[in-house]
Amino acid sequence: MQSKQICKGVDLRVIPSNKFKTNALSIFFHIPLKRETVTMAALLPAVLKRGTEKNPEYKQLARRLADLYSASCSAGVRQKGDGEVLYFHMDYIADAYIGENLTEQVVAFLRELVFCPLIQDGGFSPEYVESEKTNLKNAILSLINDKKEYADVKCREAMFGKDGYGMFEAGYVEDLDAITPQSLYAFYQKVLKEAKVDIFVSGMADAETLDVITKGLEAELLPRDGGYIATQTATADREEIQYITEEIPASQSKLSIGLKCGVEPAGEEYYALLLGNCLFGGSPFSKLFMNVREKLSLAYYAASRTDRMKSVMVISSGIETQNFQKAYDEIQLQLAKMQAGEVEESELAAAKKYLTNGLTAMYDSVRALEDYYLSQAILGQNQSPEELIRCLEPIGIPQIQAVMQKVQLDTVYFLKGVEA
Amino acid sequence: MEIKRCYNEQLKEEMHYAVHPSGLRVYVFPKKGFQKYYAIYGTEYGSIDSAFQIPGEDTMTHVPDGIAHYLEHKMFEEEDGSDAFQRFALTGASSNAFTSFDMTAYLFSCTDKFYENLDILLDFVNHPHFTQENVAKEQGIIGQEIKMYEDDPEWRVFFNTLLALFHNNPVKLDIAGTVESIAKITPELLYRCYHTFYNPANMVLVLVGDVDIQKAMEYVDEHVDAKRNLGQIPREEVVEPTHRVQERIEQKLMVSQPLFRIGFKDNKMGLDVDAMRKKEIATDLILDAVFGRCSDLYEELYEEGLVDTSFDSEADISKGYGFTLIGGESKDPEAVYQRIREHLKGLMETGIPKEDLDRARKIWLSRGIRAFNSVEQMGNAFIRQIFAGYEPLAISESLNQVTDEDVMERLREHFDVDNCVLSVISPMETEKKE
Repeated sequence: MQSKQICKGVDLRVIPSNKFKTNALSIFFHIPLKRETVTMAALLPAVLKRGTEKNPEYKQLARRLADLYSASCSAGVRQKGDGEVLYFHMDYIADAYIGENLTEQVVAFLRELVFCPLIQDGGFSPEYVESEKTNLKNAILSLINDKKEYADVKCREAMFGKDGYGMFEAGYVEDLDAITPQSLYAFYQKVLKEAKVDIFVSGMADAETLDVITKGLEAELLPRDGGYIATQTATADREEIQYITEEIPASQSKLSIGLKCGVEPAGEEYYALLLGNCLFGGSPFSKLFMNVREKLSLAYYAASRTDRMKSVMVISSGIETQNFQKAYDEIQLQLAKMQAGEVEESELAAAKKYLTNGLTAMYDSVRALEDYYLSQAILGQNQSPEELIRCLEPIGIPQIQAVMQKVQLDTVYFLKGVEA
Repeated sequence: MEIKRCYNEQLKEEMHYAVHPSGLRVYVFPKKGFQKYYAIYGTEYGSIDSAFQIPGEDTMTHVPDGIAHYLEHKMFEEEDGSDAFQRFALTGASSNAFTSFDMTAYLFSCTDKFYENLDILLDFVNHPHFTQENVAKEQGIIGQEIKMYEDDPEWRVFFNTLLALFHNNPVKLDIAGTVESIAKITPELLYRCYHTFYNPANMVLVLVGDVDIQKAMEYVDEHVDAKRNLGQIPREEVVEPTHRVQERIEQKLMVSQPLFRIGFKDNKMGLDVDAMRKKEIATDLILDAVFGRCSDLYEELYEEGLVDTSFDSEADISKGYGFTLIGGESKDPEAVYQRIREHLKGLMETGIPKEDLDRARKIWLSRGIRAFNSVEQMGNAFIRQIFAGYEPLAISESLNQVTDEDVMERLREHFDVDNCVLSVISPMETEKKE
């Protein structure tokens, strides 16, 4: 990734490639994850997407996109450790396949969408704000429709509380009443003026293209003091494991187990954690897959994943209600084995190959690479996936064992399926 | 064995293909510059194939529902008690498999050691190993998979729609079967299905990446026995009335607000390849022009708060079944249902505006071009198209075959407002206990 500062607090980051049929352009605003603003942040992109000053109807925007060979435009929020990013992403077919260069029109579209909203009485359109409040309320409440996701969100909330990292990024229903077109607009202006900005360009990125993009956006992005949001690494701090059971009418129960890892995301230990997670529950040859699923037939899925930035691990599984203890004991047993260093050299070799494959494959996905480098920028690094692969090579079982010993169970969230 | 090559100038993409003496069709889509390789090896055999005639036998064989999917799980089993995942672990590849209504497919993606991985794929799919013990073991795992779907409102609203549309077509049955039906599955039944449908003439191998088809064929030679060619397998003919089973179907689940699907039944069956392709594209164009993000209808329903961004549509058109679904979440599915019916009635009179259809064409073309951004998307889309008999690189060409009149004809015959169904998942009224 190549970077260039456009002005203070605004960086242009470029991932050149000519193998894709599309080019992509994104703007990210970095803001802290705070209880006071989480709901407004989730609401803002939806309101902006409804219409602009020049094109106040959604249909006009949608038709303009379709006319640009069906360019796609998405906007939303994404959690990044103790912070979140407000993102606006566009991609569009490259000129080689349609004989027409759309970059200028796409930049104009993005500029209009993000910076030229429909304003009435010193605020956003009251009609759009009201209707998007209703939609957001429904989106927040519909978390329960996906029981696995619901259990994971509730587990995270139980681990960290209803602020910062513990929050559900879609926000809270009880905040919605107090949000007005004016208060949301004030929040928007503050973000525009103060938040750290990254612009990502992927695909054909010759000097001319970058010039069109820079010229199209620089007038809107003035120098600012805002920087990246630092994340405090989660470290084991609970004397006793927290057990929570919630009953819901469902055929299957969901188990979500949160662990704190205490590993610096930009430090050497992270490489051992990445491998440790792969061996423990992050692959189809992992201890969880081979034992909870294959050996004991307790589940269809039993997997773990880590959030690098916060240093949190989550184990998820869907089980029969009466098998809770069996599954939980087996998960603990397998974790203990990781902590005792009971890993074969052949398994470690497999994990390195598996991660190498996954990291190398990122080069084939614009979205994956963009998100990877965004996280890198937040961590103050510019390590390519290829360089990360090289850092995994020297890691041995003792280092993985040492890191896994830092990983501690924090919260067990059992979403217990009961008959309706 | 003749290797054919074709190149599409607009897409700047190539396709190489050949038919192996065993009957296996092999396709390569060279993708230079990509790190990843993708291989997908599929059989035209899915959940709908529960009654068929084994070559050499006079009668139809009937097997338990969910057996194709069960077989997919068990193919990973190896003689020494290990599984194919562990073999792929040695090379770092990521492997998987899926079963749909009309196909079972095994796949891997990798960034290194492609031919070694191809060797594993061809090897494990060509040698089944089923025992009483390993078959019994899977009951628990698949049982949990079935239960996971029972709680999934998106899955339920989908299958309920099919239950309301189809009387006899097995497409209405859950792909994984039921806990009861899978209890009847034995190693012997699995072998019968395997030998019938995993015969090379019923299979396709699609390779995406910087692959040499000659070299790939050497691996095929090694693993695929030309003597196993049984040709195409006759299926029991499904007699499906044209009318729906019931107009409305409802289920209560733990959801926050109602989910709905409006379903249309495809009665124009038994078409040749070209006609089926045209039917499919015409349906896609209608969905984008009438129900897509640019449509008047979406704008109106959205502004009235009747639908939100979850509103979407899909068509699934295959040789043995076809249906179109429109849906999402809504506080009032009944109102959406009535509005869509009225809107369609109006369009039957006025026709779809040309401007809307032209835009839908651009969207369709863009989607086709975008598929080439991902080796997985290419492999998954193309194997389906190859089984259907379509030409994967002929995107603009296929689109141009479909006239505005074809689209209007499809609108009239498929979007029958007196034969559609409304499936709703409504919230359960219950106190949440902590």
